This record gives sequence, C-alpha cells and structure tokens, in this order.
Amino acid sequence: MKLYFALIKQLLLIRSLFLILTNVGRSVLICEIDSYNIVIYVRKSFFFSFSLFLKYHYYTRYQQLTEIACVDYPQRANRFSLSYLFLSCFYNVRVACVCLTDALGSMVSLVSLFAGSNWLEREVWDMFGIMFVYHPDLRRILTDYGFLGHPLRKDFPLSGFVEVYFNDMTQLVCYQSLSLAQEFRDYGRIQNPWHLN
Amino acid sequence: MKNFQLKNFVLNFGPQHPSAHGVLRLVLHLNGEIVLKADPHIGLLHRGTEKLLEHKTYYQGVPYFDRLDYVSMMCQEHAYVLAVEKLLKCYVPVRGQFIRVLYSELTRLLNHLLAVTTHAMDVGALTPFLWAFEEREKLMEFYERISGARMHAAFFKVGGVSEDLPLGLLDDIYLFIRDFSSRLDEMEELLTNNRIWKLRLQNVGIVTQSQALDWGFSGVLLRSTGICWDLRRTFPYEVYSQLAFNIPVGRNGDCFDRYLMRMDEMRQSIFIIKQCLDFLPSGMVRTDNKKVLSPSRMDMKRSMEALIHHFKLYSEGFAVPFGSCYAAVEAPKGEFGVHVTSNGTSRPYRCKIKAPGFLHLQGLDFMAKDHLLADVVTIIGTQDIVFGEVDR
Repeated sequence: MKLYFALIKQLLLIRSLFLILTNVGRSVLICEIDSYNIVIYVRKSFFFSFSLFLKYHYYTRYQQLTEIACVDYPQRANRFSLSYLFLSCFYNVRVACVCLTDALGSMVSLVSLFAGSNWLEREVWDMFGIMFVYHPDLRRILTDYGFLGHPLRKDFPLSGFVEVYFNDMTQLVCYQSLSLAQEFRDYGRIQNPWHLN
Repeated sequence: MKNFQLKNFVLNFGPQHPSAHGVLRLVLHLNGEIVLKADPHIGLLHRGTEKLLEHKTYYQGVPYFDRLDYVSMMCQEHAYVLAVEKLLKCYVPVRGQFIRVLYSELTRLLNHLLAVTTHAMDVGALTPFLWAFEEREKLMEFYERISGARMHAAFFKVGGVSEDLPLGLLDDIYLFIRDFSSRLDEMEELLTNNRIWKLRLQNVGIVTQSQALDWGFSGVLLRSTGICWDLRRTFPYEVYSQLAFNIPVGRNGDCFDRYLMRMDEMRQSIFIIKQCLDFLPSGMVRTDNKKVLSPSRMDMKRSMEALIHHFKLYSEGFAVPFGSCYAAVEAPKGEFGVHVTSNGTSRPYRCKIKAPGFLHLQGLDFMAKDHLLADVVTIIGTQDIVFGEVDR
C-alpha cells in the first residue's frame, strides 16, 4: 500500500509539473497505475517535450530509456501503441509513456535525448514499420538484408512469405515463395465456447 | 592536380570469428589498427521469439525464454513468470520463492563463470576456461536434478516452480558452494594479478556514468561506473528483500573493474545461496490455484476434477485478464524485462522482451572508439554478449 501511494504521488507530481511547464491543458491525456506501473498517455505532438521534461527536470530525472514496446491493434484508427519505459535511477521509479500513432504517421526520434533509443527505434521500424523522424540511421536491424514487410504486425503471418534455400546449381542462397507441406493450423483462433476463468 | 580520395580500411569482424561470441557481424572502420567506427550488424540469430510467443499459450511460452540467453536460462523464465503473475495477481508460496532465488543465483554463477573465462580465453588465457567448465558441469547437474534438462530447464512456472526439490539436493548444493569459493580463488590467482591480463583490461572500454545512463546500460556495465543499481535491491522481487548481500560497484568503469565485479558477484551469490539453504521453509512450492497450474500426476489418477483441469490447462491454457505490465529481474547480464500485453485470452497479445545485451552491444561503437583492434575483442568479452538474447 505504501508503494502504491508513492506511485500516486509521483504520478500527480509529473502531471502537474508538466502542465505547469507547457501550459497546455490536454497534452497529457490519461494517467493511471496499472499493476504497480505508472502509465501516462501523452499526445504525440507533445511527446518529445514531455520526454525532455522527464529527463531533465530535477523532480523527475528519468535519465534512462529502458525499452520501447510497440503493440499493434489493426482494428483501431491509431493502430500502434508505443509504450516508452523510462527509469529514474535517482528516485527509483519507472514510468511508461504511451503514445498512439497510425500506420502512415511518424514519431519523433529520441536519439538526441537518449542515445540508447537508436537501436530501440530501429527495432520498432523493422518490426512495425513506424517512421522515426530525425533518426540518424533508420535501417532494419533484426531481419535479413533486403527483407520485405514488418513481421510483428498482426497482419503478417507467422510462417512469413518466403523461404531461403541454397541453390546447388548456381551456388547461391536464394529466396522462393513459401510452400508448406501442410497448411499452418492456428488453434488460437478457434472460438472458445467455455467461459474462461 | 589529380583528385584522389583516401578511404579507411573496412574490416568484417565475424560472424564466424570465435571471439565474436556467436554470430556478431561487426563492420570495423580502421585507421591502421585504430578503430574509428564499429557498426554491429545483428539479427543473424533472429528467431522471431516475440512473434512465436503470440501464438503460444502462456504455459508454452516458458521454454522460449530459456533459449534467449542460453547461459542464464532460469533468470529469464523468472522475468516472464513474474510478468504473467503480476497480471494474474497470483501469489507464490514462500518456499517456491526461495527455490526461485536459489536457482536464480545458481544461474548467475553459471553465467559469470562463462562470461569471465571466455573473456579470459579471448584475451589469451585458456586455463581458467577449462577449470570453470568443470564447475559449470556441476551446476548443470543441479539443473538436471530438478528438471531433467541440463540447460533449458523450463523449471519456473506461472504460480511457482514445477517440482519440489528432490531429496539430498540441498546437501549437494551445500557441498558445492563450500568448495566453490576456493575454485574462485584459484581462478583469481591466475588472473587478477596477472600482468598480461591487467595490461589488456585496465583502461580499456571505459564507460562514464552519464554514458551508461544515456545508452541504457544495466547490470555490471552500469555498476562499473559507480552507480549502485541492482534490481534485487532497488525493486526487490521474491524474497531478495529478506536476504543479506552486497552489491559490488566499480570505480573506473573499465574492463578490469567489470572483471573484478563479476568475481565478487559470484562470491555474493554463494552467500545468497547459503542463506537460501539456511532459511528454506517447508510448505508448498506452487500456488494451489488449480486454474493456473496443473494438478499432480497422482491427483489426476484419482480425481475427475483434476483430470479436467489438466486437459484444459494443456490444451487451451489459462486466461490472463486484460492489461499490460512490465516485470524485470536482475539477470546476470543486466536488467532483463518482459512486457506482456494481454487481451483476456490464453495467449499473450504481445510480449516484448527487453534484453540487456541489445542495449549493451549498441554501446560497442563508443566503447571501442580509438581503441586498437585487439581491444575490440576485450570489449565484446566484457559486455558479456550472448546472441540468443540480442537477436531474440
């Protein structure tokens, strides 16, 4: 319970401080505490200034960007929800800032604030295809050279589209479109008639 | 006058080079032997774990975490089960928590033994490696005795651990840790005051505090700069808040500091293991919520209810309520976190894995800058890179 109150205190502090600093009423949309994590929904246009504030303000000092977790909800208008996890070693708190964006939109890169966000953003670009403007080096990172598509999008099939083989005739590694001996069976999509828990 | 251009020498380091620790392709721009720029190309071991996890039940997800960082297996299962338990609001009995801590620390020994000695091997000292692998063999036997598998144990389950400890295991662990500190002494005798080892490690790969924070470092790399940050202390999980241990902190932030810290962390782990053996309470090792963990084999023979539970859990799995949460553990390499997003079904909607090695490897560029080519090997070694977790 004590921890919970500490989190609420920190959350209200961040919210009020940022509202005072930016003087914009609806820059921070919702704040909540979800399983002992502070979650703040930030409007995309204010995201850079919000992280600037989080990093440098004396009362917050979130100097580390731990990770960027992106989730794809294809049925929504803003289909991607990016959750930036900041860590303040000084005050011993974490905060997750959630920002929504659509497939054609772009995010502002945080590389100038957190050097470590370089690869994290490259990974999000690779896996989801979200552009990061002002990113110095937005290449693919985990997939193959010349890979097409963004594998962690929900409309990308688990088995992919191509397979790689070594062609003995030409002595080259080649791609061909995927052919499975048996169709991929996804039992997860079967509707469950029973009540879950 | 003719136009001419000077180009620096570009060297491909890896992916088959043994000191690339697996499958790192490192494109080095060199001026003579001085590194100007290091551009790691990763992803050669990318298996799409995050995508696969979306298609598996929570129960089936656990073994994937063993295979991420394949030298600190259980610590990663730990992060995953902690995240799912947080969403389920599931309680683990104290004995189960102690067993988890016990095995997390054994895993830390397993990892640091490999990290330090392969580092030494990259730098040129072969003997510690041979000695440490004998100890690792014993540690893997402890893995085998509780799970049947020497490496990929899948021992931590959501709601506890899969089995109680077998008879006599604690005695053997005690015998092991009693002798283990002298094994560490032997290793330190070879390395710590060794002139070549010091020449190769001191003042190489220096990281400052602000750099470490800026690049998102964690674990030994962050602590070597003098920041006392250990998740076991700062965000205590399981029973770590009840155990006494020290956190080694570096001063110079160079490779030699990190070597000393790893050695000291192993000694601290021995101390934690000993406390676990002393304080291990009796009782259950897993939650009694039958909707989360399957019943025992014996129950299934007798009770229809148990049989139904077993069938439902292994075919469909348990449903996790809506929400998302992040849980992190202090894995031997640094902060290993799992961000689970659930949509109320029995499969994670999204499972983001935060691997410490990914952020550390990113810092290789600034750490290796203006160093010699041979120092790049030292820096890769000190970062303790394992490609299973970097590429995921």
